[in-house]
Amino acid sequence: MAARGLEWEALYDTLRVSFRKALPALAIYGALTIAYLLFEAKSQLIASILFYALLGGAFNIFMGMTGYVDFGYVAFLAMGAYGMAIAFTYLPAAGPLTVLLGFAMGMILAAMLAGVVGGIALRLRGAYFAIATIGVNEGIRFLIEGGNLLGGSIGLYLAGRMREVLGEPGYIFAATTGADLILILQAFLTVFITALILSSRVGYALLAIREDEDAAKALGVNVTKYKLIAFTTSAILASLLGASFWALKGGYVEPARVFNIHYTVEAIIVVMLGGAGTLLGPLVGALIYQGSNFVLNTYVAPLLEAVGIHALGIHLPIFALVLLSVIILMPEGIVGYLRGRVKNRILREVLV
Amino acid sequence: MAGKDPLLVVEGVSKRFGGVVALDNVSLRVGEGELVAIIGPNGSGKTTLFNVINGVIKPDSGRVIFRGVDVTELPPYKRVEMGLARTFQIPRPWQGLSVKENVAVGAFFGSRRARSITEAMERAEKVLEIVGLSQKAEEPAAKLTVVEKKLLELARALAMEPKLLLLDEIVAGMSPADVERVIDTVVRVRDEMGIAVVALVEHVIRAVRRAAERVVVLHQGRVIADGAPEEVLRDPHVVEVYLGVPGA
Repeated sequence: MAARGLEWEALYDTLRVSFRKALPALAIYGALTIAYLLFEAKSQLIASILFYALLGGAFNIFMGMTGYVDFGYVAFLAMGAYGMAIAFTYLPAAGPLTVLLGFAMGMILAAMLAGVVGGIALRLRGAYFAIATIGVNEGIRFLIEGGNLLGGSIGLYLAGRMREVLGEPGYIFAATTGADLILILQAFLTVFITALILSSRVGYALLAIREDEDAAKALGVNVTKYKLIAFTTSAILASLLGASFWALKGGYVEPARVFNIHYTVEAIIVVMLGGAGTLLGPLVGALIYQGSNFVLNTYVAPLLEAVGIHALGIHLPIFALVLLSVIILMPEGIVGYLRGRVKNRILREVLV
Repeated sequence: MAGKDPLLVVEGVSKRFGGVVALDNVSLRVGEGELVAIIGPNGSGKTTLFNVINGVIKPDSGRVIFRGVDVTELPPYKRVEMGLARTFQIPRPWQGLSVKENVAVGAFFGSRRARSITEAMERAEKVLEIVGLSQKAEEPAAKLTVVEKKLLELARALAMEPKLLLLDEIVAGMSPADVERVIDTVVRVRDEMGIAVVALVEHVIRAVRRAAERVVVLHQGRVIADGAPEEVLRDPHVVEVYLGVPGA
């Protein structure tokens, strides 16, 4: 009985510490939610910031905490998107529950892929791991395209199916406000899971692995187990994002898009810019990345266009330079950099 | 000497790296709470022996028995859970983590695993106090001096609350004053926590002679002497290895 009491106490303690850690990020997401509800004209900008915050947030749990770069990351979003598409295409009988089935299907596909890929590729280190994971992403894409599976290279068209299954008003809600609200829920979930990991044995194992894997191994960390936990958690959260943002909101799942390595690169930018392994990092990275993206393409690009310079996508070369500078000048990212220099105790508690 | 049920038994362990014989039929026993020094010149196989005991390296032949269990095939983390802890010759703290966080990892993964972050941090503070690093608890580990890093390694291992502590050259390169301080700390934790200690040392400095109850001498991968410090150090073969008597 005494031991059981201690277990509960430890659980309560972990939850309490996690919640405190999560508060600053939860507050910012709360503010974004209020802004989303108040300013309809900017709601899609906010939704796209949330997309990048989650793209980075899920990636952070694996890449940020272990230091392994998974170039095949986007495949987990693809699993989520296909999970949702499969549910609507092949199991429409469940009615509105099809949405839940879709998420479940995406999570299962992502977890299975993470288990197989992680079980094999996580034995590799550094560049070898990165290369192997690119291969996986491209391999699955060509399997679907070449094998003409699940719609082949054309993909699966969801919008029509969603209209049939959910009815017209249900479809419109699910593809707009509904999908965005799910995105907000995912943001809270991702923050809390990250905080929980950072405040527990798992997080300490991952940080030890990132800093020196051999030392971690010799000092009693079952490195394979913890890397796999991080890989799978990251994969499942990523699948939720693919299912809501690409499938529900986008209404269309095509391999050329959902397996596009471009998104993996963007996830790396968001995480490195904000601060790998920190709680606020992906959110800060997303605000800067998607915020500047919006300003550059909406206001700066038309000005350049007026003088004859084709400038759509101008944010990409700019961010290439920004990322280079961040890696050279502050490899810990913005949040990590500030935390290392702030002396104030309260500020240090906020910068997690 | 080891009692009836020794804590650690190394039985006829051999290990080759290509053509080099690092360990040649090494046998060794360590009793509960015993303080043993393993000495030997550079390249005598000391660190390989540690890596075999710890599980980082699998021996070609022979067995390692810890707390009555044959652990030869077990991965390092299982041995750690059973109460084995080690330090590295060249300190390997996790540079990006703070001193306290480094020790907290030890508390999370030792033989009595901390259940929550608060428990891990409390234990880390207690252990840092023992080794005298409390002042540096919040500093990044990368900022410590070499001696402090060695103390951090010791603290990290102690936070695991081990039954057996393997110290790899913990006093090498330290000033005599630091050597005294570290050895006193080791003897104190042995006395207070009942931890058996096996320390690798290149040379039997005075402090080691004073602290160790037994000295084992390794030479070219073989145990050439095993006994009380004074006795072993008078052994002609040991003298020959260290001083290089002509005609040997």
